[in-house]
Amino acid sequence: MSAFLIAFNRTIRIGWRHPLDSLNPMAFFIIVTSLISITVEGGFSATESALAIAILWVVLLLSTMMASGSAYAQDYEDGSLEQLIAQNQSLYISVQGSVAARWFLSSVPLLALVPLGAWMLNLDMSVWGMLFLTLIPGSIVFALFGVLGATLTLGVGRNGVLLALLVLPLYVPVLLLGVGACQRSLGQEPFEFALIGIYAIAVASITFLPFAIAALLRVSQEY
Amino acid sequence: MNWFTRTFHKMGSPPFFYRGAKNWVKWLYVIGLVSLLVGTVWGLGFTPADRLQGDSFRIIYLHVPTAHLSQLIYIAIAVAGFVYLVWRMKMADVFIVSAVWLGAWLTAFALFSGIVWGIPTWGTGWVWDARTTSVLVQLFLFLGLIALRTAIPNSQRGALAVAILAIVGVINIPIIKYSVDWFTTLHQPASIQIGNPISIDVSMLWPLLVNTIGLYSLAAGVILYYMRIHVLRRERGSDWVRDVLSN
Repeated sequence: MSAFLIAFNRTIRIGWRHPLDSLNPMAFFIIVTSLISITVEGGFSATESALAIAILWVVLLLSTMMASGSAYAQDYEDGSLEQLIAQNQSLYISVQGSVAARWFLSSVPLLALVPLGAWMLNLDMSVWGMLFLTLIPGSIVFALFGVLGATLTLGVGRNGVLLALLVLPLYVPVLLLGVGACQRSLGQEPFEFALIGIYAIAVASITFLPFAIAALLRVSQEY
Repeated sequence: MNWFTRTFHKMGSPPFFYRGAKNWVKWLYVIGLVSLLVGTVWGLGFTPADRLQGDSFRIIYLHVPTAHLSQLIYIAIAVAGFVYLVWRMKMADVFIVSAVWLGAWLTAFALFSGIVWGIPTWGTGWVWDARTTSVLVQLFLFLGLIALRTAIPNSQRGALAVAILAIVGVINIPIIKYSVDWFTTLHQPASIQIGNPISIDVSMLWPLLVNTIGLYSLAAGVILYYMRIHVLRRERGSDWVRDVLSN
């Protein structure tokens, strides 16, 4: 079995045994979206769809960050990370497999909640398609950067705030492009540039970020 | 080995760097302070007022050099991160640790002076367009680097983590650079671009160049100064530090 599939299966199996790791970010997503709807008097009107798009993106971003903040933490504690590195297999491929599994475990359930959130915020139906077209590559980039942040702070106790400080600035380009594409499609303006941009960033992140993550995993065992 | 590689290897040696940088710091301080004084007095007192912006344009003499230098420091940190990643050169990490605070302060000052300039000319201090936003993001990236470096006490691991974060964060720089052209924005495109005629009058340009040279020299001096301190701290206990301090 290839390194990708080994890492993928293992991460899925562990995630399946810890369902709260996926459910907590989902609950967070729903709670934050409802809090925003509650505080806007009379709820969102259909004319505020541009705002609703931005809110959905930011809430999804924060939930994804929560979900991936604990990546590799357990492996680091119990020594499986050392085993993984000692294996004579490509760590790069293994990281890709593990991140792909994390995306299925935590981002896909969150994406499944997006229609509910869009309904709560009274989002114009005409942008739902564009929302998914941008959120899918967007959530992949969020997951990758989240895992990067988690590996940067491996072994640093109570890393929540530090993780946010490290990762949130890196999310900005994708966030701007994604929200921009949706808002432009809502206003029936050309959105091709932003759409191409977000897919380009996604492809580049899938290709290059696992190198950085693998290097950080290696160095976490050196000392 | 040619001159360049020889110097490159020598600069990687802490004692050589410590001794060699001593005079550089002094001269960079002198050049920096004198040019900044000359450029600022010239710019504030002896250039004609702008036809449209009046006297408020004069903040260009501080805003443009700081904004430009803060970006340059970020790129330099990323390059040093790459050098650290590939060659594990200790001096690269010393550079990052010494430059990151200065970069954060310069970015903050560029934002502040931009707000001050924006109020009379744009009619608003802040717009959430891509340009201002990405400079703000650059400030956050600097703060993230500082926080990460302090959070990991293990020096070598912290250095590697910071190097990787700096390289990943550098994707932000092209976005800052080209956001002015990608999106419609209030911020004007750069007046001085390679390959294009300069769209600023010569009488206004000279003080800007003098101030830029001044700020760059001063920043280089400050960074070298802190690098010398960090080198001493890290190499404490080695023979050459004992020699240096006992003299």
